[in-house]
Amino acid sequence: MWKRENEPVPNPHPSAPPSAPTAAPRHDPETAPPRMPTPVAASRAVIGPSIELTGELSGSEDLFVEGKVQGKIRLPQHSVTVGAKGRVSAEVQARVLEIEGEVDGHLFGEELIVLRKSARVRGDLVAPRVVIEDGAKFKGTIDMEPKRALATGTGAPATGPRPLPAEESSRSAGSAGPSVASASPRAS
Amino acid sequence: MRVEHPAPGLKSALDHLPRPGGSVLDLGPALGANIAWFEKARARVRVVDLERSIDDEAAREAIPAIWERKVPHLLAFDDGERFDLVLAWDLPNYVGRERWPAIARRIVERLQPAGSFHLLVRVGAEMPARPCLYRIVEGGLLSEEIVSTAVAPAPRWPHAEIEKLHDGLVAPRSHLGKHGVQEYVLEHAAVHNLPPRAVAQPRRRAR
Repeated sequence: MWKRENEPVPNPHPSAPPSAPTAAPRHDPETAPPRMPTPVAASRAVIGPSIELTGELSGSEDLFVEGKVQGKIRLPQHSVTVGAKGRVSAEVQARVLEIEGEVDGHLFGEELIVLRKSARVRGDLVAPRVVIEDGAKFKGTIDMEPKRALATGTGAPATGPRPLPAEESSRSAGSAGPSVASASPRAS
Repeated sequence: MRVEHPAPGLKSALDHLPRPGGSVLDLGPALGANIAWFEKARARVRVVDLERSIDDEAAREAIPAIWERKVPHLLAFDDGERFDLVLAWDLPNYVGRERWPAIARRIVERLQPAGSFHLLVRVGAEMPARPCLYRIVEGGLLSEEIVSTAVAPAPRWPHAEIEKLHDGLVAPRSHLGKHGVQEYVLEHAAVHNLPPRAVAQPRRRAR
């Protein structure tokens, strides 16, 4: 369904090459996008632009999404990148999240979330560090205190973006949230 | 082009933001500089990007045409969600005098009793065709970026009308910058032991 890459992947951000996660200096969010703390030669799964995936995704390697994903992505020890062509309607949990495409759903970053200038995101962001480049479109809540987010429920697992008032009423009437396929394809 | 201007009212509002645990509502677009600033303050930030949301919603046929019914869609909050600080920078002029009262009511009901509503309103005869972008440089300094070279007539918002439009709030502090932008810090009237002003009524055209 998606291809694996065990060799270095062409970097989609020439200005931001991968680097080791050690002691990265604090960056100006508008002038120097942070370098992604991704191991240089780490294997990475790729969901190509022609792939549409519905379900829960988990595994033990980094993920690059250029296709469409709906459901959940859980890679808390790895990085997830949504490329410029990627369309994700899912709750995403990762160590580092980098968004260039469209995301509709809550994002949880163990370390960092970066919205590049081409990003279109609607949902809540929970991470100790959040960087938003000028030009990125975002609507939602940013919580950089993950413990607080969990306490208030913002960080609780969700199945999609915050519903509008009309949707809230319809859900309370018994309709379920977005369906997630029972199949859980593994990325490893 | 970005030019920095003093914003003493913002400094006051930010100084009163609870740390950690403050809650901020930014009606403008998400800007990295502001998010980074609130990260340092360990605040939770809700970004609405109101102007773009209005454009988006206007394109959706499913949204009711009546403005009052649109506002809860545009400003959708969690149950019980309240804010210590609300930022509305250079927005009332663009939302318009007819539409702003519904936005104001929604904000007032979500402002914490000790919260602050920081408002920037251009007071000149003309204004850029699109809202300017404002970034926090320091607590008392804002960077203004004019993103549109075209200009449009600017509505006039007298100080008294600003207070009337925000029922239950008063503006104990106001500052006119050299760049023609009036800065207001609105707070609940009860905090100042003042009676709220009368509710603003939309203007009627003379026949």
